Amino acid sequence: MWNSITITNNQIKNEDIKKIIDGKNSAIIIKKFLKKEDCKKIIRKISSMNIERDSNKFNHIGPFLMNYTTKKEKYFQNAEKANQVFKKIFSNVENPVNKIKTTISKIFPDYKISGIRENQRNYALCTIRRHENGKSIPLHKDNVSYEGVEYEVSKINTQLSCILHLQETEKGGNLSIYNKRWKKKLEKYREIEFGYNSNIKKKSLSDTIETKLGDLVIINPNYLHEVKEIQGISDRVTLGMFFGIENKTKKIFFWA
Amino acid sequence: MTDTVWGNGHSIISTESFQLNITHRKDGNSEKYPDTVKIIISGVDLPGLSDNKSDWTVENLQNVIVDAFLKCEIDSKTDKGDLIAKVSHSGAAGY
Repeated sequence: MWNSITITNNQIKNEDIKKIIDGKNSAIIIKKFLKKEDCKKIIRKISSMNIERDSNKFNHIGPFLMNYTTKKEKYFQNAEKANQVFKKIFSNVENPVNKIKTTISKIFPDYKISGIRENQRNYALCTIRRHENGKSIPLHKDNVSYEGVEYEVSKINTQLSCILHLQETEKGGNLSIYNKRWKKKLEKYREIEFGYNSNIKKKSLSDTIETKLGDLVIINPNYLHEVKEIQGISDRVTLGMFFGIENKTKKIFFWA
Repeated sequence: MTDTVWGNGHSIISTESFQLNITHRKDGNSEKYPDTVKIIISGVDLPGLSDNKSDWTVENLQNVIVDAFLKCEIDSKTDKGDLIAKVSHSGAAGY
């Protein structure tokens, strides 16, 4: 068994974070992190705005750093534009990005939340991703220290991922995480377009997390994970952001 | 159309070449390629490696290329069968 920690926003402790960093637990699920009404308002706001998507291939708002591993200037240009869009999207709700930052800062009272800047440019606050019926996210990891080496944020010691569920699916779209930590040697099992051959997860313990509106899920994204196929007419819409812990400077960085 | 192969960097041969273990080949390639080939780098799009060849060192290439999953777009082939190719990091993220 490999279980998640289900908790409320005011119960989360530093030890919980340590448990997912060390792989003792699969994830932290903070129930009802954002009010359902606020999630719905965000979705309505997005629908009412004519927002340029970050690529033709994906229906995402905001640049994802890993898509810009060698295109740093372009990433920061797009991040600046997206951050303005996010301000508008969150204008009439409790700002979920700020709420996530506040929650994390309380867990790390000895650490300073750093408004990370690189050449005076800000990282993207978050990405909002919409996955439709029939879409899935293949088995993968996220590791900025490996793939984002051209960015200052790659120097962190630990990377964690926050996923806030803004819209539930009718069926499917669950996150499965496997008790298998990525190592460079696993690169020989890579698939061309994205991710890893699914055979490498077969002998690993796993946990599956259902998409529930308003829940915030925190995982260590260096453990292999995937999102199962979305079914039905309701898209899976999530807000995603990473935070990194730098032990030497006792700083916490956020980016997307 | 450019022939393309994918695979993992195995060992660095010089400051501009390495051995690639091929794991995937593009459908429609004009020829079959062996499982192991020498790649002579014509250009790169790799995080951590400058576009400028004169900056490259063996150590630098080792960090970036060995074990990494790479896409090699083949420009040409030498008389010895080595492939001259543009090398990039393949499919990092974005879903």
